[in-house]
Amino acid sequence: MNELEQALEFNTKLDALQNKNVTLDETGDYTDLLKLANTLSKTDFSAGTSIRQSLFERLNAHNRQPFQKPPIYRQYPLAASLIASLLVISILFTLPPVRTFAQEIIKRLQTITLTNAPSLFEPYLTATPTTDPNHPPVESLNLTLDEAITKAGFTPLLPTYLPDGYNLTHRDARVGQITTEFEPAGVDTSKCCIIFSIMQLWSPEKEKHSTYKYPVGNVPIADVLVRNVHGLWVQNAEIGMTHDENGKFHIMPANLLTWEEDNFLFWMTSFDVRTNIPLSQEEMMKVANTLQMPTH
Amino acid sequence: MQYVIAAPDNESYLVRQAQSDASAFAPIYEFYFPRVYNYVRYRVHDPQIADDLTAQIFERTLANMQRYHANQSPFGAWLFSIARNITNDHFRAQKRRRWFSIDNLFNHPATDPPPEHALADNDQKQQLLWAVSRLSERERDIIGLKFAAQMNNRQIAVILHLSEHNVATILYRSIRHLRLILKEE
Repeated sequence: MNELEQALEFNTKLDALQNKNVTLDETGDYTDLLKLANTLSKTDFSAGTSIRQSLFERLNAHNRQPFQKPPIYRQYPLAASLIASLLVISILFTLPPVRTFAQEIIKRLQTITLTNAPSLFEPYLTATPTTDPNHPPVESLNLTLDEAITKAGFTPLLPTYLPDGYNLTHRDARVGQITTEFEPAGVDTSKCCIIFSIMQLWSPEKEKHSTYKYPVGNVPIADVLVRNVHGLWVQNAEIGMTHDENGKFHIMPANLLTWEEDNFLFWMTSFDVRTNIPLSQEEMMKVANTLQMPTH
Repeated sequence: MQYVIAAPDNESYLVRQAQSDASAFAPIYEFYFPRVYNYVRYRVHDPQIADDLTAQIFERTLANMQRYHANQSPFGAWLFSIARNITNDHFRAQKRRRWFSIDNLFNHPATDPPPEHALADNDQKQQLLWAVSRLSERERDIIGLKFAAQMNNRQIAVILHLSEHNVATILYRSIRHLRLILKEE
């Protein structure tokens, strides 16, 4: 085996170890090297520095100052608005299709805006199918509630009601984010896909800005009242994708219910590839209304 | 069969908010501080210089948040390209300095064995840093990106303008070199 082959074999084993797919084989090849790599990966020097808090405070002081000089359009507002008006009028009269686009439905919560822009997956639909449909697995963890709380840094709300037959099958978390998935009992989970998921995302407490735009495809976006706050309901949102045995991608239409509550964004989705009939608005609202802090 | 369900990713969500509301930078800072600090420590032996460079990295990141475009690269890759630039600038400045300073002592491969009086908990860390400090700049860089920044070989290859096979080979050699240094000690 030449050096490149050894290096590739070592890196494969290292990646498996780091992704926690395997435990270290004490008798295998590269054991010493992998142990050393593991030490490099796990050693944290940051606990020994005193700047973490002071730097944070310094950055916060910086935060209180404006990011940059006011843009030029704020310095000359009249001229800027005149130029902008002329530009808009000329576009509307010369390019008729743009008028249609300008009527794009846009719905906002405090920190997120859903738009009818093309789905994130649209470029994949025209892609040439890959010869290898076995794409690398998406890294995903299945955590206990306590592990998820530790990892995310908050305790998620959990439903006390679930649609008939659905059970908790998967929980994943990262800093500020917990996703819980439910699937119907008795369904072969190796085949895609009947999933109902609830994601809870932390968002900062300070002033809100509707700057985060999220495309759901060309489908209606409706205002709803959920848990006594303003929410949005999207039927057949184009926010899921799978591929067939030939590697060709297909959009899985999903029903989406999203709202913001106590500095969290809730993102509840349902899709059913077999029937193409995800959970109804009534069912998802019912689940949403039973979300509460876990009792343990 | 696999599937992908798209949802607002927490990092991109927070980054977008931090671009208009700097208070949203706090969770990004909390998440990346250990990674950035450890990356710098693997490259720079002196803890005070590591503190200083880490501060510069976050200050420059925050000051340039408006210039970050999510469609060009993931936020982590962008942040670590700033970290690399600042650390590389530090080394370039060191090379321009002709006079001897205490900084130079710590930023060149160490020749002395690690301090034996270190506390038990710190002993392994000190020994590891001492051994890493004897690697070449490129080896330290790649070790920092792989183990501190926790990037995969593909991401490292993009940042270093190398092929993935090159990254795998350099990483393999670097770990072997490091083991040799530790054994010799």
